[in-house]
Amino acid sequence: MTGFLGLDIALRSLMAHQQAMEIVSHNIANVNTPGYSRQRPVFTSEAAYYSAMSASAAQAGLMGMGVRLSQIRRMSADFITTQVRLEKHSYSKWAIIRDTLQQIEAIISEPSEGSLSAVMDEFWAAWRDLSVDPQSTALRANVYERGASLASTLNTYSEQLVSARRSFNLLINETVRDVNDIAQELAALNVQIVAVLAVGDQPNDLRDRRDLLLDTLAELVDVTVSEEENGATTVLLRGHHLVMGAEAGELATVSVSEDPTLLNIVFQDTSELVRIDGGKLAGIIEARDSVITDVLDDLDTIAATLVSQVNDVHAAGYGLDGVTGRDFFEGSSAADIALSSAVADLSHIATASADPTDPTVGGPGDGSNATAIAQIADALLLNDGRASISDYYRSMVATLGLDADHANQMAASSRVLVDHLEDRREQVSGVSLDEETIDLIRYQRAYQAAARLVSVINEMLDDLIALGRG
Amino acid sequence: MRITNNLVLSRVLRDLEMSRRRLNDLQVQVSSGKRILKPEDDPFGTGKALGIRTALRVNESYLRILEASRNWLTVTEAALQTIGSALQKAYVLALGASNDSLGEDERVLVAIEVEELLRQAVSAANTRHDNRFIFSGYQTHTEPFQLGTALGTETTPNPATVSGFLISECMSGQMQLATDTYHVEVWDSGGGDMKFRLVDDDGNPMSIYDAATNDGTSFTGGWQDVGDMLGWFSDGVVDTGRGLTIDFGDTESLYVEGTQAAGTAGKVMYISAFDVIYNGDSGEIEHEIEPGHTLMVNLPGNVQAFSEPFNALRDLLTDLRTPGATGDTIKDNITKIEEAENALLEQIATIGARAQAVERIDERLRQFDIALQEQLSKVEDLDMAEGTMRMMNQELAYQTLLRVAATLSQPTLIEFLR
Repeated sequence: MTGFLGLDIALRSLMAHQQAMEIVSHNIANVNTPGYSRQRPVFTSEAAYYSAMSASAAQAGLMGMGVRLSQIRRMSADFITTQVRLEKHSYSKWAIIRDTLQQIEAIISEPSEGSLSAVMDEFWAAWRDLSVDPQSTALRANVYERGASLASTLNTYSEQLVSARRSFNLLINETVRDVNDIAQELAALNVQIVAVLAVGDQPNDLRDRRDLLLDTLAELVDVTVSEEENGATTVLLRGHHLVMGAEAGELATVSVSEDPTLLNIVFQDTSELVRIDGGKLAGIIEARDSVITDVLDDLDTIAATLVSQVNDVHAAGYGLDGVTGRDFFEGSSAADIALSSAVADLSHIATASADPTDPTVGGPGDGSNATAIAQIADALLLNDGRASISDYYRSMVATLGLDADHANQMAASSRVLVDHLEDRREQVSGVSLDEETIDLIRYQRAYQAAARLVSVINEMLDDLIALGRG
Repeated sequence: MRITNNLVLSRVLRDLEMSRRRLNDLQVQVSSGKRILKPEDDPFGTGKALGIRTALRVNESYLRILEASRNWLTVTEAALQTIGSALQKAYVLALGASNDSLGEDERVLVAIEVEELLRQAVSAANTRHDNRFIFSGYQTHTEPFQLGTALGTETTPNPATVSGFLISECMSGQMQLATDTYHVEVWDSGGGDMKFRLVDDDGNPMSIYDAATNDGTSFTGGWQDVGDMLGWFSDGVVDTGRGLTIDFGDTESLYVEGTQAAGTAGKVMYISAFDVIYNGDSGEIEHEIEPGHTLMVNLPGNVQAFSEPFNALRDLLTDLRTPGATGDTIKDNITKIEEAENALLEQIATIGARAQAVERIDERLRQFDIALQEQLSKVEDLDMAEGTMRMMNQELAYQTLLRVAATLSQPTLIEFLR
């Protein structure tokens, strides 16, 4: 019995160490698998066996029964994982905001010679030139052209910004779809994991898969993750269940009431608007609703001020035909500012302050209204009388630069933190080929020793049986 | 601390990427020569740069205006100088003629010369610059000065000054014309149907012979349309009206009557005695030569600098022609000429002072331009030496990193076990 017990023990060792080697090969195979946590065999010695027969004065009654692979432990760093996800909320959001600001910088393209700043300056200069020779057709044409340029530059900027805003819709739809897909998969995984845990096994690879999905989800939206007693995870977004046990919630998109060309995000079942504070979706919403909108609003203010101020002064003046009250610009925002049809005939451009066709009050040499229009450039019209149109624009550009720089810093520092945390996690759960190699040697030796044990015990049994042969 | 293969490799990858990105940024800076490529590179610097660029453009714009101002003032001064030199020549002639021993015929010869000087002065006063009359005030398409006199309600004999009058109702104006060559103009301000006729002192319609042809064709009686009148005489068509010269030879006094339908406006002018009429306005053409500072660049013709010289010349001329003129009369004229010269010089000095102001500001703006360019360069431009060095350093760092990366991707233990 002792012999067979020995065989038994050896067998157990063989099996345990063989399993251990399989675990090693699993680790090595998955060295490059994203989200893989290395697994370690946990050896436990088998419970001792009490045998009355083996009890004697010479030995203790408890006999060890060998080794058992009691558990395959997954080396995961759950605490670090939570931190990684939190930081990913921040990074993904700032990355989108940074990219959007850089896109706006490209649209505005300052400082350069073809941009709004240059076009505006040339517009005022054209009026000044005209004031000196109000009857010159060439100079009138110049004022007209510069005005058209100014209007169309504002139009273009506005168009590009609005289109950038709309293009976010595509991204929103994609991201919402991704979130929903992940939620579905998580729910399915929950079922599997719970089932495996119920029979007492370790669903290590399933957990890896689940963690990977949760990491990806954290990049998209700022959810809160918690694990239940039965092993299922619950994923909450603003207190609403996205994943609970086997159930998966859903996000959906609806049109914004103020601007049907844009989308908002709601919970599918309640149609309640979701406030998102982190992740890609948060970045998209903020980029669309504040970053781009702020710039658009500033451009609209500039356009509206231009239209109203220039028109006020222009309408007070007289064209060469003696007619007053004409507008120069039409429109009220950067999108629709344009030259008024009233000045399509160049002689209608109001250069004189008094009727030039009436010799008793004025004459065609009067360019004083053109001078007055040129002086609008320096008039403190905005920010409660503290800023001229150029000042306002310059400050908008500088603020854009500051915001872009800030977003850059935030994204970069967030990235550094994410990288650092992921490194820490990697340290705990990453596979080191060197380590696995050493382990392999260890288990191999143990296996060899166990095998040797088998042959030794075999010989012993031979001897034993030979004894009985006579 | 455990080091896994993935840890090493992912760190190396990150560092390589960051190094490459820095290198790329530096390369773009060096190749463009600019430190600021987008606002985020230096937000405050961008704001400053935009401000400086605007200031440069504004400067350039004002320099252009100054050029135009300079031209106006130069042309104005030259014209005034021409009038001045006509006055000086007249002065000399007057001196010569103030001698009582000069005879009638000789005086008339001098008068003819003075007349020529007057015409020169008026021509100078009608100078154009860039297709515009410079002395017309705002009426830059209207010739400012005209040798002529407006008819007045007073019928004072030639050659006294008569002021113009407007016919507004069926009013007739009568003017006695003396025997000489006259230039008649009739303005019709657009109401149409201005007519006139020639009558003698008894109110009888007159006939006029064209002395040049003397072929018997004449203009007799009745109200004639201005157009028809023109048909008889071919001289002296003037822009804004219809003018004609009537050579009366030795006829007796002649009247010109004008009539216009009620409610329309017209003017009948008759010209003689070399009065100079101003047809422009008092518009001041101002150029904004720097922010908030305007300079008047023109001289409207309704000032003494014009009226005194023209009147002095006219008076001299008429006195010389008047039979029985004495040396004393001419001496009065000389005084008038002197006063006229003073009025003119005053105006020339004012123009000169303005021209100087223009030059001063021009010089200042040019200096400012240079200063602004320097400032812009400091803000926007890359210090090439520094930038190139940084770029080369970064290249070196990048290459070193590559070598390190190669070393770190080492073989593992597995290869050493056999």
